[in-house]
Amino acid sequence: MTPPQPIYVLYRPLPATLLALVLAVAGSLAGLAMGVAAAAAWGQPDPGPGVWDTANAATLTGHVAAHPYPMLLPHDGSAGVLLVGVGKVGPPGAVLALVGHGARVTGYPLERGGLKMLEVQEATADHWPSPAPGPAVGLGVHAIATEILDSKCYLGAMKPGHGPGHKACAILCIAGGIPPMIAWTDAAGRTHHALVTGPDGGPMPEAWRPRVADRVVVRGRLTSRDGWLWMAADAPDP
Amino acid sequence: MATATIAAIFVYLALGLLVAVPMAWRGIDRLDPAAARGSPGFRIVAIPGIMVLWPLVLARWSRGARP
Amino acid sequence: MSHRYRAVQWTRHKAVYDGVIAGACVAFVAVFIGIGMAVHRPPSEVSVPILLMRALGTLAIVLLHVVLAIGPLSRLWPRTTFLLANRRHLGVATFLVALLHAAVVLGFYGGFGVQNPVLAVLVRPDGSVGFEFPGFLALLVLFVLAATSHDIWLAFLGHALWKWVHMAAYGAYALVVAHVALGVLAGKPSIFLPALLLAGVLVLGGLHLAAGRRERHRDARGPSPHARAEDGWIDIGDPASIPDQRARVLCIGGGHRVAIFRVGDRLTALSNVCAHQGGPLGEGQVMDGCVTCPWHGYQYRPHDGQSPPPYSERVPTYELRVRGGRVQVCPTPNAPGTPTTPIAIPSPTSPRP
Repeated sequence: MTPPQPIYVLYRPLPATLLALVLAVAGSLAGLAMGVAAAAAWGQPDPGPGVWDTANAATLTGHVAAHPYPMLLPHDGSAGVLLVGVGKVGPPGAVLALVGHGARVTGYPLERGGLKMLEVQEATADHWPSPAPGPAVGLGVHAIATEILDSKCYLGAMKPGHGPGHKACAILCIAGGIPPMIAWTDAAGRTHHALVTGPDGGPMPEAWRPRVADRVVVRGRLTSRDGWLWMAADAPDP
Repeated sequence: MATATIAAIFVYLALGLLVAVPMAWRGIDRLDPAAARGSPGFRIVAIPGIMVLWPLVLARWSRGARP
Repeated sequence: MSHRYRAVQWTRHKAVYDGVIAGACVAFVAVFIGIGMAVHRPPSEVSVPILLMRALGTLAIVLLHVVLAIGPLSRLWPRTTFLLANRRHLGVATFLVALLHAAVVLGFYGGFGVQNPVLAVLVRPDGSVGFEFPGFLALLVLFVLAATSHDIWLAFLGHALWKWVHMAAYGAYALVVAHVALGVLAGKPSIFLPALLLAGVLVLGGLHLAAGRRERHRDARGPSPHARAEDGWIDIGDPASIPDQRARVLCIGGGHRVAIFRVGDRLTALSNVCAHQGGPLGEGQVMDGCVTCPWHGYQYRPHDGQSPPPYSERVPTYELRVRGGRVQVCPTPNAPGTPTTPIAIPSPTSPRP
């Protein structure tokens, strides 16, 4: 009868006959784990092309509007730039005090698909003549299957800044004053974005908050103004 | 409901911490003779366990039982 | 063992084991973030904090799989018991990694806002909960298990209750699967992630089924009815075929198992259940004259089931006798620590009484 293999006892020297097995098991477990790490990292979904340039502050001048979300309308007539604060909050009081006036705003730019936002560091009065309010073009009533996003994360503050994993953050951002938006792709494969307001043009109804980041159908009047699309969303179906 | 559940869990653990510090410092010695000879490191490691089991620990401590 | 408690009962092996675990965890996170950054290049890069959060979450799941696989692995291949000896350290590591994952989530998803980060992550504005909640509950279970993993809690609860409490690791696993399925997988990731999770679930399930079948099969090979004497004593089979310093495990009915140890030409019988964590003493070995448990090396004297001083653990002993040249064991255990007289293995030519 062959003598049985010595057993492993954790306070005794490792039996020589076990060394190879210990190394093999530890090695294959570690190898398997590294394989999982590599596969899981490789398989991360595409977060989209948002950019948040925290290295280079930008200074913009224009007119501060808030209907309802604070936005800088540059004096050169280009598309409006959303203004938000540092963190998951709307812009600081200095910006709100300048609504309806000319301003010089400095902050870190965020941009995705030509949509621009500034995380405001500093805002001062600047006497640009007030531009005439841009004409709002009605585009009719639409029902859009989409996801309600917080614009700051989606435009590049978090990558990915959308999807169910990001839901709690998106709700927190919108609660703090980050403008909500939707993104959808049309039949031709083009992506569109719209800021979401209430049916009266005020902030998005709170009833939508728990549905942020879910797949939903948002129904309402779509208009185009200041280089952005605006969705005046009806209340969600109960 | 969810908020109340989370609050209850944190309150339970906070009360556990209140019990755990004196219990790990001295009280635990009454529960287990090997604990009476325990090292300072052991007393720190015992704290989370007391936080979890504090009603049981208190009950056994008040009976003065040694297993 | 339980003579005097320390924070961690480190031995050289445990230090190496813990070092390997810590190194592997750091390497895992480094590989995840490194490959994540290399594959997903700007402008479609994934934020580093989010890579870190996902690396830690994935690592916690991998560790939980290993922790849960060790039990059935050591049942199926007893030589891998060395993994089991330090399983609690792996469990505590799993909790710490999951805690770091939760901390990063609270910081990045719950922080920088106008609400309490914990409530912002866990509770929706309408009072409902999302996929984060099962993750939170899983973390809570892992905390309970890690917090009660020290030997004092084994002694405090008794190994049967302690073991039962620690079975909650399976509950944590179910909660983690729900957390991942509702959260990450609902975000339509590539096929990799669902396939990985499914493979993990299948491997774990398969190992547990195989180990369970094997145990049932082993127990079914208990003594045949004719091996039982009129007074209930049970024939142990051929004692000469028990290797020296080893045991044969006998299922004596009622779910009880006896380990018949052979030391030289002497036989003694102990309960198969270690007083520490319920390890299978009969799969151990006699070392320094003591029966040594294969799980954590707890030792008992073969003739009285007592741990040598200064230790105080005790297991039940069983009486042996020789009848008609056959060795028989009494099916009723003695109180733990009761001395018995070792019996000599009867030679094949010994006269029948």
